[in-house]
Amino acid sequence: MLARIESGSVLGMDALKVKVEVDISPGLPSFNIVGLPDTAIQESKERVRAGISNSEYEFPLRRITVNLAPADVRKEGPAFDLPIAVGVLVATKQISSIEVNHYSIFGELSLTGEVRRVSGALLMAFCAKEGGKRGVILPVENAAEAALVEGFEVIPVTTLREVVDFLNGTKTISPLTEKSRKDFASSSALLEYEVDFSEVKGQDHAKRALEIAAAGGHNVLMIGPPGSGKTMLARRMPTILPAMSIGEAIEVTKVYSVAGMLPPDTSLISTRPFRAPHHTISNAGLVGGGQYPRPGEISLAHNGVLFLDEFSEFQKNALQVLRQPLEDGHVTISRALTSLTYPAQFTLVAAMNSCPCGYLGDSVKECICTPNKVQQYRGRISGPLLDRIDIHIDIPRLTKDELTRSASGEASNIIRKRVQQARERQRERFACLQTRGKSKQLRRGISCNAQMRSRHLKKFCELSDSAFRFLENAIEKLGLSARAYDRVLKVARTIADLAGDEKIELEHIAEAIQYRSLDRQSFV
Amino acid sequence: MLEDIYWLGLKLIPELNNRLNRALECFGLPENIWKASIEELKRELGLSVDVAERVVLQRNALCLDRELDKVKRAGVELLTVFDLSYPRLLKEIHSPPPVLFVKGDLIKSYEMAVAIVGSRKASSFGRTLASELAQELSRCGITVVSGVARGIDSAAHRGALKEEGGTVGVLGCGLDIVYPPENKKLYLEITEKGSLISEQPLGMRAFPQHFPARNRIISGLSLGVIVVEAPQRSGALITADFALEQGREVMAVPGNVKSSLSKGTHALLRQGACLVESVDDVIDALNLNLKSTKREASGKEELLSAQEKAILTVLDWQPRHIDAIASEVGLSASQVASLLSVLEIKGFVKQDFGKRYLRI
Repeated sequence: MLARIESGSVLGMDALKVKVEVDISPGLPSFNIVGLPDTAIQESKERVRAGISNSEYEFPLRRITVNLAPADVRKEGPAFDLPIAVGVLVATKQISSIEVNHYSIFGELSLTGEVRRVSGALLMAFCAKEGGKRGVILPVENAAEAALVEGFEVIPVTTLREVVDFLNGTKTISPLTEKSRKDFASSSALLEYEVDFSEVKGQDHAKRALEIAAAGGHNVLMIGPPGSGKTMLARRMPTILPAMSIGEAIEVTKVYSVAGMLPPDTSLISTRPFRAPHHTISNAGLVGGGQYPRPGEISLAHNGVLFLDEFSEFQKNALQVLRQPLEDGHVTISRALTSLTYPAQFTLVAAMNSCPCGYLGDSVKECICTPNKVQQYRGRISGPLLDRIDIHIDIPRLTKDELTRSASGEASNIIRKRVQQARERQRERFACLQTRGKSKQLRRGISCNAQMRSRHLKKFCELSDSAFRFLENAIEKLGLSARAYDRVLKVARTIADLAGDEKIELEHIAEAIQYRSLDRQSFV
Repeated sequence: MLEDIYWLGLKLIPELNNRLNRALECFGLPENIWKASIEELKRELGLSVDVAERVVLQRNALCLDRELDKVKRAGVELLTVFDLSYPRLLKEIHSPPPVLFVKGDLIKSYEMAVAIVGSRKASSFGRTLASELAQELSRCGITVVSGVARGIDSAAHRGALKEEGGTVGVLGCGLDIVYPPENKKLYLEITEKGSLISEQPLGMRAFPQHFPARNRIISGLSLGVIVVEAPQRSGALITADFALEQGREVMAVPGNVKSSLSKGTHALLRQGACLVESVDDVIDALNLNLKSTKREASGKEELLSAQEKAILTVLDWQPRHIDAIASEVGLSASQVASLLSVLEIKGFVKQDFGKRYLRI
């Protein structure tokens, strides 16, 4: 007797439709799974056997063969437990086979017959919908995320028994409707973050720099002694970024779904993610990968903020692998068998001390480092990587006196409004670029100032005469490099956007120069 | 010069180098020392048999022609106490260095040289001050002597190089060794517009014991020594001590009372060192027949906008953070950032570490 159940498997950021075929034939009792299963799937035999008998169904003492088609793709994870169990029950006629064909099924089984959550449910639900299924039967913890799929029945189940009763029509389970989309519209209006910029006292200069970074999509490097509030500021960076569109939110949710990191009751991640990996992180942890590839921290920070504290302490090659995703907005992991692409469009906020001891430039404690050591310390961040960071901020440690005196600042939502306006201006300006170019890479266009290439700079960064003269003067006096020249222009463009000016004026250039401190500090 | 070859040989053998002045007294000419037998070395210099034999061994191993060629190719000249161009002031001190290695234009007049020395970990205020002072001395035609170390020394050289007076850098290592390494560019500039001097042969690394000896040359070359920022027990104070021994004027620039960098200079002032506020004080103290020419400000203050002026009024020589300036002037962070950039380019303020600004 043969049963065919539809399920799915996750491959990078895509889901793959998998047919679970269960054949029960006379012969010595045995249980085999074929179709390139991994260890977790091999073990599912035991879970399926125990799950079925503990739910008081009959486990057939015959020859059982399970095939996962297509047979040439490696499959992983325990999500096939439930479809295999259902397949066995259908093949033994304990479930009527008509209803089963309308649904895609996945879920992990426990020995007691309970259904447990799996990762990637959102992607598999999307895939099932595209495959023309009426709905999906899945663990109740995964129901909320899958409910994002429009016009689709999401049947949350908690036990194998429920699945059987539902398919046999002896029990009705009302499907979860996609209410989360409607919720999203209302929730994005009042974005709820746990932190707010108004909690940061003083540091007006740094806050202004972060506002510019948010407005232009610039990456940021914060330099300051320990305890100066770098982490506190970085944590609040997502709160001033413009609210995510529904498309962006779904992308983020997909990444978290694949990583299995979606909080149980969350259907849609509507706030921008903030990721702060420790500096001992491996390459694979940072950009993604592993034997069974998983999205790394840069993808978990997709559409949000990646905060790298102690930037210079990261392994050198871990920082090098950041370069390509910073440029492209996605990362491609190539293996002998597969090549996967994860999205990684994030704002990088890096923080480091000003010198190895951390007290260079501190007003209270004396620095004990030689200029050579300082140079070496900073040299750990390679030029090409530094090239992708437009804004450098010096963050001093405030004295107790300064702390108590300084007023608390503006709230995040006020800053966010300005940022949103500036972003709007940029989108209008770059709209003309969207359609040109033939290859996909070129067509991508640009959406914010940070993405401008040198050829765009000429076109979009028109300087007033006085601003031009000032910039020439500054470059000569402060010894700014050609590299710095481009960055200053980009940042000045954003400052002008925040001010609502089409032309870059002298004051915008003058302010932009303030955010290039690493280009000029000499140690003599 | 034929003699140069023997001088060089003597410098390259440490056992002789250490006793060079005494050997000269005994043997008269360097050639005689170089050619002396073991017996003579033992008798005249009181060397033990071991040491004397080692001297002879090293002597035979050296190819003097090749060594001299190396020196010439590095663009270095030898200057001996017997030379007419040997600095007169330096010759006057107790145990002047018999041979100097010199690179760059020999300064025409060592007659009017003043040393500026100070801490290697100087504050931004100290560095600015040393640089300004050096620049003004240089403009008056005074040669600025210093030790090409970090901090005050480098700042003094840089200041002096901006004008025509020239500058002399005295090293504690061979002229081909760049120490500290970040001063490579400064080395080049000094050899172009002034000269570098060292008592040590080429290839000699910078050992701590060389520095006091170098300091005696710094003060020996100069009419007076100005100390800018020196903590207690610093190299700059050793230079000041040498200056006293050599009968040169000791001058000091006072600093912040609470800073540890002022302890040394204030101690000198307490002992009667001449207090220096500007180049005029130096000229007075040294009884030089010179007129200081005031430096015109790089920009005119009257031409500044009201906001720029307001920022200048809250700034002084003590660095202040940009946020503190903003809150005192009552402008937004972005306005202040922009205005400070403008003021810096115009030459009114200077940026220190950690976005702190001071007035210059």
